Amino acid sequence: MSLKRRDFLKIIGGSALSFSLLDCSPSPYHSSIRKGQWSPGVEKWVQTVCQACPGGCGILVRVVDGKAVKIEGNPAHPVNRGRLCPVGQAGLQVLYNPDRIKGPMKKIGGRSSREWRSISWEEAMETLVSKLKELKNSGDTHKLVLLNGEKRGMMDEIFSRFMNVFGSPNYFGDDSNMSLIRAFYLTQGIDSLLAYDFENSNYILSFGSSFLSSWPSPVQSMRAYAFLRQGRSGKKAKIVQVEPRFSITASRADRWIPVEPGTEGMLALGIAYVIVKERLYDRSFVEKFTFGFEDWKDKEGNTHSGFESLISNRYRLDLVSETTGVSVSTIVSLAKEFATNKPAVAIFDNNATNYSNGLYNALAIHSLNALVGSIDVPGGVLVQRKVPLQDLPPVAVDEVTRKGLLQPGIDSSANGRFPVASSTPSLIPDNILEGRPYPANLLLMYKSNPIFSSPNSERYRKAFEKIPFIVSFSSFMNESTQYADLILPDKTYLEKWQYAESSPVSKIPVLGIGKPAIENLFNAKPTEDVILDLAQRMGSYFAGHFPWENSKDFLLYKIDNLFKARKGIVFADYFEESQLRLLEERGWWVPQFTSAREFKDELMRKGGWWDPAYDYGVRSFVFRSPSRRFEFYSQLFKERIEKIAEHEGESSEDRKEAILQNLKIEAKGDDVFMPHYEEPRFKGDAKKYPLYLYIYQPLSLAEDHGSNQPWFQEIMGFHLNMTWDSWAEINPDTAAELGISDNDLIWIESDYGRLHVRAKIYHGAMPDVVSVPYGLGHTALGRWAKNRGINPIELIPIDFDELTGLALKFSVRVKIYKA
Amino acid sequence: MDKLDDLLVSDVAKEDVPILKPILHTGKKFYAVVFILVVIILIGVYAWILQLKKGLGITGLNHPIFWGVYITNFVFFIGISHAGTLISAILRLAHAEWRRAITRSAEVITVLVLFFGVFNIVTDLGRPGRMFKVFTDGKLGSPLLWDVVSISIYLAASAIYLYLPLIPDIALMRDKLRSKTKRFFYGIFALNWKGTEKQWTILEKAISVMAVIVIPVAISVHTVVSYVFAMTIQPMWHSTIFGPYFVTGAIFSGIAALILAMYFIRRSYHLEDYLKPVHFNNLGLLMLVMSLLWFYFTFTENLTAFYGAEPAHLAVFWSKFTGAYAPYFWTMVVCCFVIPLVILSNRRTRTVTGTMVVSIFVIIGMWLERFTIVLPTLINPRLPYERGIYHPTWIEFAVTAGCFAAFILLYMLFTKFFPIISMWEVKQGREKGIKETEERIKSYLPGKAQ
Amino acid sequence: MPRWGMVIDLDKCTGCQACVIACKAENNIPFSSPKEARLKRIISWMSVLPVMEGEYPDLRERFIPRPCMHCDNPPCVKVCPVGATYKNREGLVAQVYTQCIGCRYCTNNCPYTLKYFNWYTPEWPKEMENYLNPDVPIRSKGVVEKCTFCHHRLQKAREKARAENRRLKEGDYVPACVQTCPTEAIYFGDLDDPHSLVAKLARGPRAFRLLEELGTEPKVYYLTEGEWHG
Ligand SMILES: Nc1nc2c(c(=O)[nH]1)N[C@H]1C(S)=C(S)[C@@H](COP(=O)(O)OP(=O)(O)OC[C@H]3O[C@@H](n4cnc5c(=O)[nH]c(N)nc54)[C@H](O)[C@@H]3O)O[C@H]1N2
Ligand SMILES: Nc1nc2c(c(=O)[nH]1)N[C@H]1C(S)=C(S)[C@@H](COP(=O)(O)OP(=O)(O)OC[C@H]3O[C@@H](n4cnc5c(=O)[nH]c(N)nc54)[C@H](O)[C@@H]3O)O[C@H]1N2
Ligand code: SF4
Ligand code: SF4
Ligand code: SF4
Ligand code: SF4
Ligand code: SF4
Ligand SMILES: [Mo]
Repeated sequence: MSLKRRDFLKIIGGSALSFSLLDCSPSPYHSSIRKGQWSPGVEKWVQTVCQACPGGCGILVRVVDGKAVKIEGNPAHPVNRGRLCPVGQAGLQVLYNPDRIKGPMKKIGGRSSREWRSISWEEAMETLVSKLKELKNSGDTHKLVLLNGEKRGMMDEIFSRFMNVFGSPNYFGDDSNMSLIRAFYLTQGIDSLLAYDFENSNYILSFGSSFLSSWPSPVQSMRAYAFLRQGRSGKKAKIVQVEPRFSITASRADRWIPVEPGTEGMLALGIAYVIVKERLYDRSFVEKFTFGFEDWKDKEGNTHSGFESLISNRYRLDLVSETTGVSVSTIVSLAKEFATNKPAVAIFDNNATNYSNGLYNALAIHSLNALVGSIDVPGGVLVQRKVPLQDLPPVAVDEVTRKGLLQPGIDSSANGRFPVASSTPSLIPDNILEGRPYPANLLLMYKSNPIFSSPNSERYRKAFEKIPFIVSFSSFMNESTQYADLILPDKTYLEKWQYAESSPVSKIPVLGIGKPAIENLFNAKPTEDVILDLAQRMGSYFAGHFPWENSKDFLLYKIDNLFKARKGIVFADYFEESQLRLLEERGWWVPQFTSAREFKDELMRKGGWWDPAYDYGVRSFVFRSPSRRFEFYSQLFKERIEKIAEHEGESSEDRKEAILQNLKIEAKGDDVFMPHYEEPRFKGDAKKYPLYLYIYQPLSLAEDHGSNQPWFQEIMGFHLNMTWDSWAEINPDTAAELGISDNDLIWIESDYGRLHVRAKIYHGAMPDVVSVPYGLGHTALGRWAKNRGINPIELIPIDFDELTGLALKFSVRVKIYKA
Repeated sequence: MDKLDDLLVSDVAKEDVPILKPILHTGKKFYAVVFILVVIILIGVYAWILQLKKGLGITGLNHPIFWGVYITNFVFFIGISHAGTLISAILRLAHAEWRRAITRSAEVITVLVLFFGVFNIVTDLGRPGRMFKVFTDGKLGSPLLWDVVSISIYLAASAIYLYLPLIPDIALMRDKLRSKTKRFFYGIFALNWKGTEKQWTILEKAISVMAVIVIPVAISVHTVVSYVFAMTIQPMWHSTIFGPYFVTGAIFSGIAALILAMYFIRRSYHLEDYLKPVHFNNLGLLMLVMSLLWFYFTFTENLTAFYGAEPAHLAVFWSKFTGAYAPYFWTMVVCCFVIPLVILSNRRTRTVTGTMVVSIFVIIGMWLERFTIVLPTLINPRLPYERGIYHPTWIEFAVTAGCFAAFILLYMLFTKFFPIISMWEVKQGREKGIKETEERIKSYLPGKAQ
Repeated sequence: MPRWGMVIDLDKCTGCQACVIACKAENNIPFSSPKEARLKRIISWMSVLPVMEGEYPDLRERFIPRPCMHCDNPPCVKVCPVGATYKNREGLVAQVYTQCIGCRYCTNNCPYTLKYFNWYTPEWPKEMENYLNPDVPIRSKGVVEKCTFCHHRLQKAREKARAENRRLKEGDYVPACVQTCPTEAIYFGDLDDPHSLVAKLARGPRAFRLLEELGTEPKVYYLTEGEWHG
């Protein structure tokens, strides 16, 4: 084509007849096609998956003449059924972002230098290989640290294997869902997120869950919401949002209940109180499937108090009302509605749990589900089954690797400080700074930007100064990548082979297959391929463990198992699907295909596989706690505490007391292991800093995806008419008291910093709460993100949930004043 | 005077000399003023070129404030244009003898200012290059087309109406100036005027016919300008009162413009003997009447909106009375009503200076009136939306200043080429008017009519 | 002739703005700069209007997505001096960019403020020019634009139907915003076909239109929220 598209568009736009809606005279584009003057462009639709969030929706990319020009939902994909959220729609601004890193680069000068020179992939790979070999040869494999901000899918699998084969325990990801997962673990023994069956619920009691904005799978939850609103025949579901801020979810709920920050758990306990007192709970469920509701005797014959007596003794409604700021009559009505509109479900995410008492809040909220028997029933809390992907061949480690893997992680706390943590990535920078338990030598970062995304980024900056060599796989020049010595830019999700399992909050397993929609844009390489290539270059030990030629090859290997699984179906049209689904639910599984080959071809062609049937009542699957029940009284929790005490050589009650004191737990005795209320601790004197700071992620800015996309900058603050800048939501009365009016510039100040931001008067703000969105305030990340708005995380100290080791988001008090 | 003698043939009537003087002699002050005006115009032209190149984005206009200063200027200038033709025509038809010295200065305003009205519309277009489409593809359903039609007719009619009474004066210059080239040029425009009886009859007939035609045309012009707003369904634009309201405002501001013009002509060219306090007094009275009328319309317009209390209308109403546009609105009320009332209703202050001062305020006030008609409605669309606020940029101010400067400059140049006071009419007044008036007065009195 | 119309269910809409982005992506709408955005010059053929009522803590909010209403009696068309905006045979209110003189009279007479003006020549960084939709022209500076109901999609659907020698059927022609809406809150179809879903919904008890009292006869209907009964 001799004319560029731009010119071509100009011609259309400028010609006399033009487009318009003149249907009698079609646009010159069309007429010229007919006359054969214009090649209409080679158009194709590439089926792939959206990876802009964990949702993994199926997408179709419209590619004309090798250029991706539109993204639509894939109607065959069961998660989104052809629909997309704004983030999915905006993928083109990720793909064609002019601020992408366009090829491998090597730093010129020292750590603080911001200059790189372009290098070839060959040179880049050799540099990395030599660094890795150095570590391997000196037996320091554990000194390799890998941060992966997106621990899911194929990349996660390849990285874990690589770290395992290399010999480093230091592979870390995001820990923001820690408290939720820990709560499910302590009560049900399940070490992952739980799924909610919204579509079949009659009552959704949400404790700050932002399921209509930044949920693990926004399209899916929005679809469920719409189904509850207008799709379903029969009874209408009621949605109640308990939250300190009138969020999108609150605004679309039937009722919004503002609650004092950090007291969500208390409210749940008050509701439990009514349910218990009025004997509205599901007696048969409680009897058959729970542990620790009534007082009980252990093996030694000691009597322990149960949840029932704990609740009845301690959570009188006047007390609950005073703490939470919710009236007694509201609590009673919520409890009655919740218990009598079954199936009802109590949901939460990491908002209600981002306080010092977060784990207990989570336990309290989740216990409501057990009270009304909403576990493993339609409309309740479910556990997702995994996609039966093929396991990777076992790893045969060599001596160096074995030793490396036995080393403690660089995230480990001194003396097991956090009893129910599985990993504590927030400790990494401090540990690196102090060389504890050993110095970090080589850091790899993939989709991770800790300098922007963790509290007290100064620690990270300093830690980075101490690491001899840093490699970033980022596609964008973010704050952390600025420290990198070597940059090996990744391709975006629209240019890769990949697979996406539906997010864990979905009750059914779905596997989407992704192919590159376009290739040859910039000199970037999928990091999956880079690691596979790396393994080949590292010698036969590595190469033997990575027999896959490239990421496509790896993908084909992973899905090889699916046909044999004799479950589920390849994406199909709606009619065929409902037939198969009906059969499978009745226990008939009909193979769609006769051979594995045919299956695989069809799978690649249709873009995915899923298993629409959910098996209820597999008790061992749903309850994996020691009692194989839902534990109001968590024996796993107790075990953990006892283990620590044992570890320290003593198991006396005194020692346990001391441990609990260290953990700053106020409760005593059996109460410690049951859902109860601990007062949340906030940093900053209440007199000096009278307000709570709340930070939330607008749909379009979740994590830091949105701020370098101009489309999102335009829409993110639409409820307050804000664009291209951060804002602080302030209650009108509070604002009047402080002499602040709409659009004034104000300072938000905590003991840890102060930020300059525009005030927005918002009726949906509680009087003692200031809300600020996450996602802006970058000092890098390209022309649209850089120096725009504020990063509220700069106001937050590093403060831990003493039980889970989670770094807290809502732990600080602030004051505001006019600038 | 000796110089003048060189320029003029000797038999010029003594009374005509002061009127011809500005044409024959130009002082330093004049050039200084021209220089300043040219500078302002150049800045305006620069701003305009910038706007043409970059797009309307460099103005303060935005969404949903799509119209601003330019449209205000348009309405304002078209309003001013009523000064001339309409006033002069009415006075002519009414045989108001005191008109004779002022008609010309009034008519010039009309013709010149119309260009600036049209210019502001063109400036406001996103695609001024496609302006011709209004003629080739015009849709008569649009009030803007009505404007195009009526303004074109008005411009043509006013130009003719200005030109006809100029003919005898041009002929006079053709005959009395010494310079050959000047004689030649004036000769062209004099259309072979010999001053024969027949020519006089035709001329006077033509003038009276034009006077009759021009009045409805002028009224129609400002009525359809008001229709640009009134035909929409936007709150407080969609109003039946707008036609007469705009016409009143137009005459009001027109008189003010005329008084200002007369004031400066009188001072700069020492024509105190021609433009007398009585002229200012009479125009002042007329202006007082218009001020009262204007107030009556403003009052009615706002009261109906307030009483009706439709939310969409009230939003506009309050933004004028107490909101963002209150400063403009109340300044307008003071300028257009309070000050004129105080100064003009008192005979002692209704002096040359007094009316001049009032006129300045009225000009400012009437510009603000146009502004507060255009803006508050746009800022308060029916659906709650981003209620932007409008801050014009230097571009719009520069273009506006350029327009005013260009208008003044052209006016000044006119006075350098043509007598700004109609010589023959003044003469006619002296020769025939007195007798006619006497007879007319007699005819009013009891007794036998002639 | 079909009479294309839209029904938007406010009970389902979550204000996610996928429709807004889909429209921008489909129709080559340039994005604003921060400076332009401050002047409210963002072009967004589809925009979601948040309407909040009440005071803390008793708040109600609804989100109203607004494309052009494609009024059957369009006030914007009446005032255009050059016929650059007009209603076509299928009732779509069209905008002829090459005819528009940019007087912005129509923008001022749209009671819904849904017409947008090109304050500058639209520009994209070089890389982003790749994603422009070849089916939709780029507007020039100084002209007015608005939602077209993705008319180019109708043209394509019609061509396709013609090539397959059949009539246009429901679902052949779906605008971009309708297609993406995660909650399926937007329905689209022929209002004159009594069997179409949109026609049924538009006749239903929850249906209303914006500023109906002005007599503009919008072809975009809204459905109100329902109440929960315990
Ligand atoms: N300020 C702020 N802090 C936060 C949050 C927030 O929203 N704002 N959210 C919190 C939460 S919930 C989490 S999970 C963490 C997340 O924090 P991180 O795990 O650090 O994730 P991001 O900050 O999103 O950083 C991901 C980086 O990946 C790069 N990237 C983008 N696309 C690609 C790609 O295709 N390939 C590769 N290789 N890199 C890419 C981008 O440059 C981006 O900066 O942050 C937490 N902290
Ligand atoms: N589209 C999209 N969705 C995503 C992601 C993404 O990148 N894109 N990322 C995913 C990831 S990694 C994460 S961690 C999640 C994060 O998603 P969430 O865990 O939902 O985190 P936020 O969006 O920050 O949620 C903030 C909400 O909590 C409310 N809130 C603030 N303070 C309090 C409080 O004290 N108590 C209570 N109860 N509520 C409060 C705020 O008003 C706001 O509505 O999103 C996931 N979903
Ligand atoms: S929900 Fe997530 S995966 Fe689905 S379209 Fe939106 S960003 Fe993409
Ligand atoms: S895409 Fe649908 S749910 Fe989202 S704002 Fe638009 S209409 Fe509402
Ligand atoms: S909504 Fe506005 S732009 Fe659309 S047809 Fe109606 S008046 Fe015209
Ligand atoms: S801006 Fe264009 S479409 Fe609108 S009225 Fe003027 S010429 Fe017509
Ligand atoms: S119908 Fe098409 S043009 Fe109109 S708002 Fe929807 S996507 Fe935009
Ligand atoms: Mo996260």
